[in-house]
Amino acid sequence: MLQVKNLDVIVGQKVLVGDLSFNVELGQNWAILGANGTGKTSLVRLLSGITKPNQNDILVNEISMSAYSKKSLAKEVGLLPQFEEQNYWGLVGEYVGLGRFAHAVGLWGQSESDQLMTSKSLENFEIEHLSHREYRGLSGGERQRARLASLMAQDPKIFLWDEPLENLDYSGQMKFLSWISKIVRTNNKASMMVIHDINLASRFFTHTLMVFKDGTYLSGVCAEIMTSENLSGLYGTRFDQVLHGEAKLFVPSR
Amino acid sequence: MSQQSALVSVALMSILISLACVGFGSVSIPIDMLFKSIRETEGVHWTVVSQLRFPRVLVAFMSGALLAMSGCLLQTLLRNPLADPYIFGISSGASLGVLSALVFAVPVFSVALGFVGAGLVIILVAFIAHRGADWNPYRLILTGVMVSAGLNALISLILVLSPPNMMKGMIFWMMGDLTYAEPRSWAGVLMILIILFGVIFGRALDAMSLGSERALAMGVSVKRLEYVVYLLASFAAVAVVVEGGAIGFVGLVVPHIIRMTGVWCHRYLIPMSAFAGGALVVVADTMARSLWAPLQLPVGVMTALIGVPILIYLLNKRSDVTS
Repeated sequence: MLQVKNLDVIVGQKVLVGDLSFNVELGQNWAILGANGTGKTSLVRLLSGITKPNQNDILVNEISMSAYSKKSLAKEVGLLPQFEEQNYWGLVGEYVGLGRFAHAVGLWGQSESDQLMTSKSLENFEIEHLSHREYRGLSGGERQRARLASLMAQDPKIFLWDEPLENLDYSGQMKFLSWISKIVRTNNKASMMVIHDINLASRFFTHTLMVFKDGTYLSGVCAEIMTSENLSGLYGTRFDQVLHGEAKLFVPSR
Repeated sequence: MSQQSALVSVALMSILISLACVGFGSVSIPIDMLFKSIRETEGVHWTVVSQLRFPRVLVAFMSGALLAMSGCLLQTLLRNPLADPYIFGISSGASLGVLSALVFAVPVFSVALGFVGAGLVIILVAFIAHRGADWNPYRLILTGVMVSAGLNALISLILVLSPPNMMKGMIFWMMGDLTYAEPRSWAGVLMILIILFGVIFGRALDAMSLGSERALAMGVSVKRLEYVVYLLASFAAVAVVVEGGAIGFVGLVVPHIIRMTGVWCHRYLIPMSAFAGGALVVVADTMARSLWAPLQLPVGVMTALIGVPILIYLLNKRSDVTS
């Protein structure tokens, strides 16, 4: 579905990750792990088409990403950036509905299916009771849920999330991650998420992309590459593996 | 109140207010005489209405509408609540052109030179903001403010060096004065064009208020939209400035007033800004020409005197308005 071949992630003049190649197929749920400043955000921006690679195009459905119009690409790949500007004056329901921008047809642009998808997204993130409140008046966690809902409303084939757990409480995090795992499995979607909680990552995701400080990377199935050895190298701090029932947990040690 | 019904009521109210202002002035025309003269299309009242009042109200309305929409578009483009139609120095460029025409005693060319000055500013700001890096709101706003400051220095120089008998006319013009303004059909066309643009591209503009990154990820062609917004907002400012000078405050204040009444979708915000801005300038201009009649005050003074208290009142009423 999403093919990356020999991609360089460049910020300024510096190559943060070199010669990156991996494929994301529908039904896969990827975690992107790495220390701060290793180029994870720049990578998801490239993958979403917001920025263009210097060379070696990224393929979506075996077609070069640059061949898509902005709207049609937004239906294939959707990114929720880590930050956005807070100039939005509208209601929560309208904010989430804005996620339907790429699907809207015609002048008034809110078809029945748009409205249905919007209310489903509001419901899924348990904010339907806030839909007539002003977005600006929400708490940090409520805002974050509205943001997640707006990408759900956009309904791309591949979801890209840049640290989406920010401001969510534990139950919100668990519900969100379960929902992602579920739609990836059952709705023929794929997801890639920049995340710092390795224990959640090892529990909910099928695949992992690890971006190391030296510009190298590892990609593959979680069960194979999520080892205390790799994680210790990734963050420059030692991790011990412990077993909690069936689940593998990683505990940082001093 | 829904945004649709708010738009309809503001539109009706501003049209009624504007028509009522046709009757006001140094010669007051009662409403029955007004209708009578319109029916008969002759007599002194008809001459006053058709030759003086109506064109004046029309040009005031169009100026207000263009300025309010221009301010609204720029506040969205620059993601800055302080943006107004003159933030890039368009009025300064036009002023420089017009004042040069006055100084060199070629007033026939004042409109043409105003256009040239403003046009050069539009190109210059876009060019400098674009050089080296991608243009972004931050670069654009700083470039505009710098160009504006430089031109204002030149204008001050002209004012200081010009003969005293010219100074009053120049200052009047710079404060915004519709005494010699005429309604131009191209300004009307531009006004309708921007209203349509706001209605059709309203959702894309809404998405832009989340920042260009988020808007891009939603599928908005941000770059193209930004160019169009920049040009439309600039042309609107030019169309007003060359006719009526730099009428202040409408472009800054009207979009905020509308937003504070709960209308924020650009699809409604832009047409509503047009109507409310139009009515505001019509009322301000009516007061400017009748309060001290036969002396005419610059309309720019009145727009600020009316607009500022309204905005401050709304700001106080809505304590939740924060950045």
